[in-house]
Amino acid sequence: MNKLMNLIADVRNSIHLEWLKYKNNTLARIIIGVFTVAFSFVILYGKRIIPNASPPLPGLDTYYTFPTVWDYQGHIGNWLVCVLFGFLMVHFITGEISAKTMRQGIINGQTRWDFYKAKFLVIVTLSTYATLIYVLSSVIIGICHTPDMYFSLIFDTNNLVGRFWLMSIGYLTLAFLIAMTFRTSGISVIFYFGYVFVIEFSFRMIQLYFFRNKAILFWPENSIEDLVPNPLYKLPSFWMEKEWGFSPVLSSWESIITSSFYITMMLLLAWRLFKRRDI
Amino acid sequence: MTILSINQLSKAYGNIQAVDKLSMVVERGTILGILGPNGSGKTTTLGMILDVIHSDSGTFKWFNGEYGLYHRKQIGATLETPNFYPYLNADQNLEIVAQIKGVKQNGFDDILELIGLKARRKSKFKTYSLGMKQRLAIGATLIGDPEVLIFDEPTNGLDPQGIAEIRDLLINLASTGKTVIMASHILDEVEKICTHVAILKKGKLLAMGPVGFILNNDRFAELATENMMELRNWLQSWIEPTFIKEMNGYLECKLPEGYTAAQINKLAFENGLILTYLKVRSRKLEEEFIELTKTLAGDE
Repeated sequence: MNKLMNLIADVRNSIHLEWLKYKNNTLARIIIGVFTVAFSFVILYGKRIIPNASPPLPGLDTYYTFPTVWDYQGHIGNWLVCVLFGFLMVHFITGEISAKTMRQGIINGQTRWDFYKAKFLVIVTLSTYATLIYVLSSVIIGICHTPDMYFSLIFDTNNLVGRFWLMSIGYLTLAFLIAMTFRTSGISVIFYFGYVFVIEFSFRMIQLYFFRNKAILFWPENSIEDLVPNPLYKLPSFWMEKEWGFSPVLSSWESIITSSFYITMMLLLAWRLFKRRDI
Repeated sequence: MTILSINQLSKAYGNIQAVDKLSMVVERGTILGILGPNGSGKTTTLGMILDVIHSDSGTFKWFNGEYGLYHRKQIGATLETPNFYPYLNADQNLEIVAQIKGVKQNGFDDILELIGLKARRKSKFKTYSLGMKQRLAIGATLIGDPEVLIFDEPTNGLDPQGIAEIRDLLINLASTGKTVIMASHILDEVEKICTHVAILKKGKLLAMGPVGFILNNDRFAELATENMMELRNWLQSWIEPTFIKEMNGYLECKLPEGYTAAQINKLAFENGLILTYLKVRSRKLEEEFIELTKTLAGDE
């Protein structure tokens, strides 16, 4: 019982410390503000500019009504977490390194494990916040647009909420590892976005050229992305599965297991780097 | 009580041996100045004992291991530059230090008063001058009333007024009975503040001990008269010529044992010289340092 109380106090102190560090950080305020507003309004703004598509594409209603609103909001969240919170995580870590506050924190009495643990709690907190906004925005948009709504329909999410949280942890852990590796903000930002949008995709395409099998899906960023995949993939999926013999998107459980493995590996690697380096 | 014991600590950066089998013991209440030219291993040594630089070999122990992993919470330290969150003000930055140290502090008025930053407490750190940043760093070391204070080149980059301010602040802190470890290459600063000195060169400890023990008993006279040539001739008649140096407007000589200022003045007058300037002083730490680093390192 004492151990549990100590653990809770320790987590609370770490979160409080990170709050003191970042509550007045202007860039963090702007990014979190943009994230919150964009999450709610991107899809609603889309309604005004995107014409209603003809079949087989889904009609506009599916974007806003239960249960499919979870898929579309999740996909918007996938982009927003990847771009905005990924960038924010890189900024947090490289900011501590360039201002040497990470070093001073250790000098002032933190252990390296304390520092690492506090940053992991930042990842968890940001991911939880992103998930909360995902749930709130999806529920509000769904309630406002779904006719003949009933309670079980609202929560027909196919584990998407849990998967969204894990996806956020995945992107932020990737950003954390990259920032801990490169340490300067410019290079870390370039490498983070380069990896997410170009590098891994290029490797997968090369692999696909030589070996057309499902192994191309099990790369780190792709397995994180497939936790909350683009719902529009459902159409080509059917054709590609027939043509290639496998779906272009991992199943829920495949992505959960694979991304959990990569998250664990990335966290271990970041810890190993941090523990061994001079700071 | 032993506050810090270092045993055979070494660190190399590639081919450069930054610290070479360094051993020393620091007792409670000591004000230790670590002296050495740039690149002598002062900051690397402090970095290792503060756990931000990994040693290649050797060990060190704080407080005889009394505080375990959290010994640094009993130490207030600055290393190289003042490191704070640039977008936060003095109060907010000090609050972070207090949170890390686990100290419940009801405001920082006393500290900010002591370091002279009370009026600028609400300004962001990035707007401070270098002197103000250094003072804030020194103030942050005082949070939680730690047993040991460590300062690394605390007057680096400051103007003369800033140096004087920091020096006064350090003299005040040193008089509180805390153990202070200060790395510096400004010997005058160390001589004025420290009780003990350790001299490093190329990562090796050349000498360590009380300031009075490190400084030998040589005494020097600084003399001037209207006719400097006659003064030099007179000095050469009873002092080894190599011990006489021409300085800017006066001659400096190493005195044979037993001579006082009054005796020298009398002797000069008896030889027809009226001295316009006379000062007898002990050997400066700077002179001792140069002598030690020349002779013990054997690289001249």
